[in-house]
Amino acid sequence: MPIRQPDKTRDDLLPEERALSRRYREASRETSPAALDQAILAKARAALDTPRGGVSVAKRWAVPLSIAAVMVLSVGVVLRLLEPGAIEPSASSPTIVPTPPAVADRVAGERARKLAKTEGRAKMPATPPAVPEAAPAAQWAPARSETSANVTSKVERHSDGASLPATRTGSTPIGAAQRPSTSVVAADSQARAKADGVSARLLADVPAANPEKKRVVGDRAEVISVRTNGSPGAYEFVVGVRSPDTGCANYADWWEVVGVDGRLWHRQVLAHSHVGEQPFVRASGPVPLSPATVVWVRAHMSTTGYGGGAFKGSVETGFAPVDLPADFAAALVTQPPLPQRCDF
Amino acid sequence: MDDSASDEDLMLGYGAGDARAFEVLYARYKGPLYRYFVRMVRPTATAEELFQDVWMNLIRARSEYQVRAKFTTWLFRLAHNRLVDHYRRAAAALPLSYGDDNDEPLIESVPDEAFREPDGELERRRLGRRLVELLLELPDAQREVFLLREEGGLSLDEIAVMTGVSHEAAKSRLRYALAKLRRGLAPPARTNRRALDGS
Repeated sequence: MPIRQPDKTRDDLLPEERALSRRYREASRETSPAALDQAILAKARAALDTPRGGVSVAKRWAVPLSIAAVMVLSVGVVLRLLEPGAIEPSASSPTIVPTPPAVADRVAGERARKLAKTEGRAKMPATPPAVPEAAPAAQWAPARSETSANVTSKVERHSDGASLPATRTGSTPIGAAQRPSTSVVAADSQARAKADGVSARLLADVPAANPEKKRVVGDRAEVISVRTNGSPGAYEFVVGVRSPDTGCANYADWWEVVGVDGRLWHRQVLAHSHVGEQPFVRASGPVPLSPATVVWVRAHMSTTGYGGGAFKGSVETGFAPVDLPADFAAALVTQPPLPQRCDF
Repeated sequence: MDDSASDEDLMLGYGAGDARAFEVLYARYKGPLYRYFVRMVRPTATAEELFQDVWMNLIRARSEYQVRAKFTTWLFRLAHNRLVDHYRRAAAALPLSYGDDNDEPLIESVPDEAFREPDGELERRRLGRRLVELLLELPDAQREVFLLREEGGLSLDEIAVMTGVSHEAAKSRLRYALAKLRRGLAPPARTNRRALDGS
């Protein structure tokens, strides 16, 4: 394997190129913004936390487990059909079709009564649960949706990432009860920045099965972290956004900084969707604010507009997630700058 | 990993799970890559998006990386491909100037004596700013060749392969770029006098 030292010298310069090259290198010193550096370095580190190729354990086992589950259910159904008297009109069709809770309960009850008649043959373990478990599965989806909404509101108030390690496991966040909802507001800016960094890194690699992924409220884009750099009159905002992007037809197309009076201070238009890159962090500025100016930071979805989680605060006091009034500064949706295109 | 390790070793190290290797690599090339995009794409926010995309592509490709060429060749190929992809998505075609090899006849090269060293730091800075302004006025293809040379340190052969043109075409683009930049930087009076002299 060839080992090369970083080499900026070239021996194939054209005669007229040499002086110009020297002058260009003297004059060309710009580099990427510090916030962007931090975001990329965080992504690079976070990528190492996942297995090679970026495939999580859950994803790797999703297909085999799905096949196994289908096989178990299929065997269960077949075995039940082979039972004497199992093929009856009332017993065949509702077996695996998702049913409303009441119907499911009734079917489950009938199943239980029929099973009671042949209780002695309940030695086939996969068979009895096939139907009773189908009913809870059908009920589970709407119930989860409601729960998800509640969790969203709650977690948003703690979305600086402190609770994420616990929620990744799906258990109750350790210490969540002790943590007041105002802790984010009260935290000093250094701690908040640190927490945001953790949040960005952890959220980037949250497996698909993680409940945190479901924090997006419906089809809205939400701001999940806000940090600022810079000095009075020229602050750079580093904003984390989570959005249900599916491509250019449906994506978070900007985030913005808005005064409490509805004035648009700054808008960062996003040039492409972020499918498979959620959540993401973008830095932009300068925003000509004074340290005490209170502003909202919110995101916009190309299809559904505003309405997701937002942050509110000032550079001086820090930023915290707050419920955004539904119609707040809605007229800004037509105010430039607006997206001109979506690359992908 | 040692900070003095080669680019290729750093990339392999990162692919093997060494986060520090990426940090060193990023520190080396964030500036060149950033300037490449900032000079090729407007506005700056879009350039930063593309810049970030390239690094994300590199991160995703870490485990498949093999040393087949210089790391910088690979890195700037990622960048060039992303740039072309951006052009195509933005306008359904490359910029008109991208395939512009039929430029005006190669202007007479400004002699080195006209390209004198500036007097003092202030003049040096002014000329530096002027050089960047002139660079931004070049057709895209010529500007990119210049940037791949200066920021990527690539050879004309590498640039030719990367951009899908012959060695001579790449060299021609570079010569046009250099000639225009030198003409723009040369002191007007001296250039005019030489023109009047017919030299």
